[in-house]
This record gives sequence, C-alpha cells and structure tokens, in this order.
Amino acid sequence: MARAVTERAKRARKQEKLRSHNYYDYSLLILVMFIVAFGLVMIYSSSSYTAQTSSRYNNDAAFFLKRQAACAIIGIITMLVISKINYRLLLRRMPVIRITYASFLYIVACILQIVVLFAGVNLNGAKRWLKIGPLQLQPSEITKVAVIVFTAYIIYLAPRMMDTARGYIKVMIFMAVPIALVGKENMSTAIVLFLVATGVCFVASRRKLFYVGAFVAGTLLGGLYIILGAGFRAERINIWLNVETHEMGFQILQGLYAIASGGLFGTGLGESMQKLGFIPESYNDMIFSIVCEELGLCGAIIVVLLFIMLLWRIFTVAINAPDLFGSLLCVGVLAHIAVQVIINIAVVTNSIPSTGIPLPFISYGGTSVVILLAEMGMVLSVSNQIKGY
Amino acid sequence: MRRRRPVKKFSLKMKKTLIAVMVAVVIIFIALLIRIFYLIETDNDNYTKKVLSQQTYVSSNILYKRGEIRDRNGTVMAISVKVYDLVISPKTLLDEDNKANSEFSIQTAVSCFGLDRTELEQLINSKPDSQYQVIADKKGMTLDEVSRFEEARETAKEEARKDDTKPVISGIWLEERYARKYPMGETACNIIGFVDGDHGNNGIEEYYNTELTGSYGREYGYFDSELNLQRTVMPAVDGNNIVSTIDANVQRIVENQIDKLKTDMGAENIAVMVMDPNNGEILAMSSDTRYDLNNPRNLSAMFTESEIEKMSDEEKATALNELWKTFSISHTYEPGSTFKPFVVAAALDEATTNPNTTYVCNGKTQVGEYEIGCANRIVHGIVTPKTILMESCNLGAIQVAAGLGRKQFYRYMNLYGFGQRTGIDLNREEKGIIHDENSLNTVELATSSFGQTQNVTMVQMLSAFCSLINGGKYYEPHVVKEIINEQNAVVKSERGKLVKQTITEHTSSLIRDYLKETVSSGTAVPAQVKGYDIGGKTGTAEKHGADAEGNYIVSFIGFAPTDVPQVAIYVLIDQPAVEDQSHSTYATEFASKIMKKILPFLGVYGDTKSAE
Repeated sequence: MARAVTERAKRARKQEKLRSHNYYDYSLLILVMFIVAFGLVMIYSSSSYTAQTSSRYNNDAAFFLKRQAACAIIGIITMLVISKINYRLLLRRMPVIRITYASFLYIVACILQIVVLFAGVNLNGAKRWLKIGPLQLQPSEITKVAVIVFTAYIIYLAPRMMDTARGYIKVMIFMAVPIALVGKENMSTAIVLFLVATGVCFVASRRKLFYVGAFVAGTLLGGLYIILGAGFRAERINIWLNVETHEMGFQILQGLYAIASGGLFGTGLGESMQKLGFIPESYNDMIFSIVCEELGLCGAIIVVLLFIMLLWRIFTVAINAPDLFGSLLCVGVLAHIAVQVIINIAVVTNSIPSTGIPLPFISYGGTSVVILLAEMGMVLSVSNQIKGY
Repeated sequence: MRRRRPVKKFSLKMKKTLIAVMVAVVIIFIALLIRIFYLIETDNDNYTKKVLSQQTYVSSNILYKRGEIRDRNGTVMAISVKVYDLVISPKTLLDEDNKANSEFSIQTAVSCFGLDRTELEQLINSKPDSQYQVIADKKGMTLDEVSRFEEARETAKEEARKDDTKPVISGIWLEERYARKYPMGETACNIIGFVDGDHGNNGIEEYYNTELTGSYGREYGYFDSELNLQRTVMPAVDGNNIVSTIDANVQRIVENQIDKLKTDMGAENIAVMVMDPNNGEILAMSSDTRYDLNNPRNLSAMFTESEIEKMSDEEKATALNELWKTFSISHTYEPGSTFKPFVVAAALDEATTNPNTTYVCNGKTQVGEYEIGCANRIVHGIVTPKTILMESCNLGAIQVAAGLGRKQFYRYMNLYGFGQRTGIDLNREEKGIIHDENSLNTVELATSSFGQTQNVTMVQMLSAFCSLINGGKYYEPHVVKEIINEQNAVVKSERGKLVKQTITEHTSSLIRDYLKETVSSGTAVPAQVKGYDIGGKTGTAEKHGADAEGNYIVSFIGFAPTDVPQVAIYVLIDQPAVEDQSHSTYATEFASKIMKKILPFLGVYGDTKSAE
C-alpha cells in the first residue's frame, strides 16, 4: 500500500514537472540555421570569382565566405544566449539610471546614429559604418532592433491608445527620431523601419480605417513627390520603367538577365555567368538574382517557401505568446523579415524602383546577419516563456 | 501596497489582423514568384543570349600579354608586342552634325598615316552605314607609327577643352592588340610552335599553352546607392614566360649545317638532335623541313604557286600538317646498327656475355629460312663485344642477342623506352613499334639485334643512348627548363626528371670505352673532331616497303667528351641523294662537322694534346 502511494506521488510530481516545462521552438531554430547555411553556400558561389581575381581580397576565393561564416557563428551564439534570457527583462528598469532596458536600447540606437553621421566611415559614398577597433558595424541595423523593441514597448504600456489615430501618431513621433537619422544617409533602411513600426501598430490597433486612409494619402503624396520630381529619385522611376533602354539600368538589367537565363531549373550551383563581374557585388543585395540563375525558378520557390515557413513559426509564437509585449515583439520581427524579403525580391525582379535592401540571412553583411539572428533569439526567448502542456 | 496588474494579452482581434497580414505577405510572395516565372517565360531565350554575348564582349576589354619564350641563354624566341589597327566609322564620318570634326579627322589621318585621301573617301562612301571598318593596309602598326596620330588627337582634345569650337578627332581611332612575333623566324620552329588566335599550335606554344596564356582583365561600371557610376578595373594577368632548354646558337648552327648538306648532297630527310646526357635537356633539335613561324601557313617552300592554287582545303591541311610535323618525335623508322650498343649493353648487364667472350663471324649465317650477313659480306673472324661495336658486326650482334634470350631482350627494350612515348613535353609524339615478347622468335631477335624490323623515333634513341653513356640513368627528355612569371620569379623548374636506371654504372663505362674505340679506330673514324675525344656508333639501315628497295637511312649517334659526357648527338640522313646510299660515312662526316662547330658553344673544349 505505502509503496503504491509513493509511486503515485512520484508520477504526479513528474507530470507536474512536465506541465511546467517551458516550450522552446526548435523548428524555428533549425529553420534559421538552415537558411543561414544556405546563405553561406550562395555567398561562396557568388563571391568566389570576385574574391579570387582581386588582390583587394588577397585573391582568396573564400574571403567573403570566411567573414560571413565568422559573423554567422557570432550571430548564432548571440541568438542562443538571448533565447535563454527572459524577454521581459526589457521591461525592467536598469540598476543605476532607472530607465527600462527598452528605452535604453532606443536611446543608444539614436546616439549611435548621430555618431555615425559625424564619425562614420565613408564607403561607396555613404557614411553608414562605424569603426570600433577592428570591428566595423552598421548602426542602422541596431536601430532596426531598437525600433521593433521600442514600438512594442510603447504599445504595451497603453494598448488602448492604439485604437485611435492619435496613438499611431504618438508612436510615430518617437520613431521619427531614429527614422530621420537613418534616412539622412540610407533612405531604403528608413523605409523599412517605417514599415515595420507601422506594421506593428496596424496589428495592435482595433480600428483599421485610419490605416487605409493613411495608406491612400501616403500613396498620393508619394506620387506627387515623384511627379514634381526630386532629382535622382525621379530618375530611379525612369530607370525602373525603361530598364532595358535607360543607360543607368545596368545593374538591374544584369540581374534580370541572370533571372531569365536561369530558366526553371537554373544553370547549376556555381555555374552563374552573371557573377563574373556583370552583376557588381553580386553577393550583396543582388544575391537573389544569382540564386535564380543558378537554381532556377525551383530554387526561388524553395527560398520563398523557407521564408514563409520561418514567418509561419514566428507567427505561431506571436499567437501563443504569454503576454502582449511578447506578441508584439514577434510581430515586429515578422514584419521586419517580411518587408525586407519582399522589397529585396521586388527590386531584383524590377517590380519596384531600385533600392538597396539585403535579403535577410542570405545576402552578405556581417552586422545584418548578427542582428537578424539576435532578433530570432528574441522570438525564441518569447517561445521559451510559453508554458507547455 | 502593490497591486498586481492583470497580464495584457494579445487579443483575438489582433490575432485576426495578424492572420490577415500573413495571408497578404504570402500573396505578395506568390505574386513575386509569378513575376519571376513571367520573366523566365518571356525573356529566357532573349536574355540567355545576352548573357552569353556580353560574356565575350566585356571579357575582351583589357588585353593580357602572352608569355615570352626564351632560349637557355635568354635570347627571345617568341614575344608578344602591342600593335595598332586603324579603324574608322563611316557612319560617324558622314554624319552631317559632325562635319567639322569629320573633315579634321580625315585630314589628320591622311597626313599622319600617309593614306590616299580618295581611296579613303571611297571606302567611307561605299559603306555609309558601317560603324566599324578596319583599314586593311594599316593593320599591326607599331607604337612609333601611330604616335603622331595619337599626339594630334590629344592636342585637338586639349584645345577643344579650352575652346569648344575647335574640332576633335571622331570616327577614326586606333585599336590595340597583341601580335605574336618570332624574331628568329624559322629557327627551332618545331620546338617553339606558333599561335592561332588565342591558342598555341605545335611546340611549346601548344604544350605550355595554359602557362603562356594569361587572363583578360575587365573594366566595368556599376551604380552605387546614389546612382553614381563607379568604375572598377580588374587588371589583366599576363602569361608566364618560358625558358627553353634550347641553345639558339647551337640550334642555328645545326640548322645551317642541315641546309648546307641538303643543297650540297640532298636527301629525303635530314635530322639532328643534340642533348645534354646528364639531365635530358634538349639543346638543339631540327630537320630540313622547317617553316617560318611568322608565317606558318605559307606552303611556298614545298609547292609552287600554281600547285597551291589547285589544292583543296583538305589537301592544304594535310600539306600543312606535313610541314609542321616534328621529325624527331613523330617519324618512326628502323634505326640500323646504332641499335647494337643497346643490345651489347643489355647482354653485358645480364652477364650473358662479358668483355672477353668471343664469337665467330664468317660473313653470313642462316637464321631460320633467311640468310643474314654482315655488311658487304665482310668476314670479321673472331669478335668480342668490343669489336662487334667497333666493326659493326651483324653476326656477332645476332649471337649476343641470342645469348640474351627473348625474355631479357624484350625486358631491355622496355627499359630503354622503345615502343613507348618518352614523355617529352611536345605533342604528337609517336611510340614506334617493337616486337612483343611472344613474336620475338629467332629471326626477329636476330634482325632486331642490328636495328632492323623494329621502329623507333629519334628522341627514343637519343634519350636511351644518354642512359647508356651517363652511367645508366634515364632522364625524361624535355625542351622546357623553367617557367617564370611576370615578376621574373621561377614558377616551375625542370631539373631533369630521372625516370629509371637502365644499365649499371660498370656496363655504361664499358660501352663508353667501346664507342670511343669505334670512333678512334672503328667504323666511325670520320666522326672524329680534332682535339676532342668522341665516342659513337654508326648506322646504315635498309628501308623496307614497296619502293624503298636500295634505299637507306644512314646515321651516327655519339657523345663527347668520352670520360664525362657533356653532349650527346644524333644525326640521321634518310635516303642520301647519292648513287650508293649504304655508307654511314655521310652521317659520320656530317656529325663531325656539326660537333666541331657546336662543342665550343656548349662549353666543351678540346684537349690540345690530342690535337695533331
């Protein structure tokens, strides 16, 4: 008898333990790692020729691969560490300065953006990089995280406010600072930031009519801006519409050549011809055109499917998050990835005027991949707070 | 007291919105994929062609320089030099809006290049829509020839910058390219080879094409985020330079001697090879069939003009291949008595004979159903291995080979590399034909012992011969010594590849001694050179075949000096144009003349004491 009782007690304890066991989205983790690995393969394929033939890169075919792989490893470690820290820490106040971590992140991002305007390294005619010792980083990437976190934070503080236009405007007043600072040097990233913040607000709001109105107004204003013509941005529209004949359509046209010549199944991994100097820096923003050339439409579909699966996992975490803040964080990350993928593919296929946005996880760029992985760490952290049954 | 606030949750409404957002995202993704599909559908063929066409267009932007070929002393034998072609665009020149410029351009071109103005205008008017016409007689100009025009162009440009009413040169320009030049013409043509387009043909140009070829550079532009044009230049990489083992002086002497003999006596073929027996380096290699590397398709040396006109393309190709053939590596023949040292060395090595073994020669013998005799039925009487070589006694050689047996004989044939390619770094090497072990019956063994019924190439003979005299070391014959890159650093160096040991040191020293005696008091006496110790063996081979009756190949294979050989030489005269061909004297005398001239060049100096 006594033995049976202890048995039952043991079992109950075990079950209790199981019930309280926290969830962790391993599918998301594995999916992210897979996409990063795929990205490394494509970076090697598209950059090896350039790296090999240029003494600037020590004629080392794996030059870009090595650097990106190092960043990916740092990013994955960052992701794993963040995923084990409770995201609610962001809501707590810091020890000495008595502000929340979320606000602190926001302030740091703004300061970094100001610093880069004055002390930034000039690369390809734009001051976007900060040099700290041997490290080079792009503060605009950090700003992306700050915008996601801070938007979620403001909305979390007063969710009902979002039901009116005033709430959205209030959020946007906060966001205007980093967006304007980024936009000074890098318009396309500013657009991404704007869309991410708006996306989170849109999801959090119960009244959608305002957003529809804002969308229509925005389109009209944008159209007007283009028609009244501000220098090179009007030029971009021209290039977009006449890519084959416009003399400045070179880069995009070369990308289109790559996509169309790939056909359904592509020329085979490593067999791209367009990467041989025709698509400049093909391992960067234009990498998707190399994916299309080498792996064909099938490869493109698989890449898009991978992203849909990734977004689906983030979506699931958002729906099941234990609180509103967690959900909104996930929505922010989801919006960030979705916006970048859409803009990148749309530019490469000449569906919209050219603007430089990297393809998440796949394009070459150290800061970008580390930050994206950190964001995935945040989502994993949210998933880790879901109580499993 | 603190009041615990209720947990704020993600509301149902928000969840619905998020689902809607997800659906929208997926729809946009699908739309983008459809866009890709549409691009592929409509532009696949068109754009694929563009990808392929621009590949060659942009790739040829910056030229690379093909590597030089030099002889062992640094004499340039093949070099790429920049030349200029004059190109005009009749369309631009006829353009009404461009009239002042056109007039100025034509005037400048006429005065700088000495063109005929009416002819030029005729050309312009005959092709008014063309944008690219190369002026035929202004192709391949040197820098000196074009510098005046370039200066005029620059000055005009400079002046137009200050005053834009001044005309500039447009519609006429110079295009640069590299032209391959061979400063020594036909010297060593078979070893150097020539270039067809981008690819080497024959000789080093062909065999080492990848080394000599560089890679094209590119210049391309792209737009940064502010849409400024960024120019990136990927410089061209020049090809590597090649240092040949050939000594151009020796090569030239050899060729002159061949030409002299060809006119004085005449023969079907005359060929000479000179090699360094200590590392397999070929110092000279030539035959009487040569062509000018600067004009390799000129058949006029072989045919008259009317004959060439009558030829079909196919016949021309055959004739050219015949002209470009490298006799020493592609021609196979029966070597004759120069083969005897190989047989004697093998037998000595296997101890089936020794220096004191005696054989009896009575002029002729019955082998199977054939009667075989020594040359002119001379009866040599009692012979030893030494006298077999000295007197070139066939019957003695037959007995030595019989003693050696078919198994060992065949083994040594392989060891010497007969019936196999030597691996010389030139294309189109022939293997020759030897008897395999099973068909080496008494008759074949007998005839093979004095170098008949087996086919060899000159390079096989001389490479194997080097091993007979240098202590048994078989080096792979080669014509390239070093590969040097643009910065003059050695990329690859060929120090002589030791392939195998054919015979022992001791046997080799015996052979050296026998061959020395052969020259000093045997059949090869005419090969002597005053002041030098020469060793060697003669050969007189009967040619076989339908109309080869009474035709002979006479040859001499030898070396100097006899104690430590520095130079090995092989001369061969195929069907000397004389009444009675079967005298090796033609070859031995010829070899003597050549050696007398080349030995000092090769640093082999005569012993004054032995000079008479």
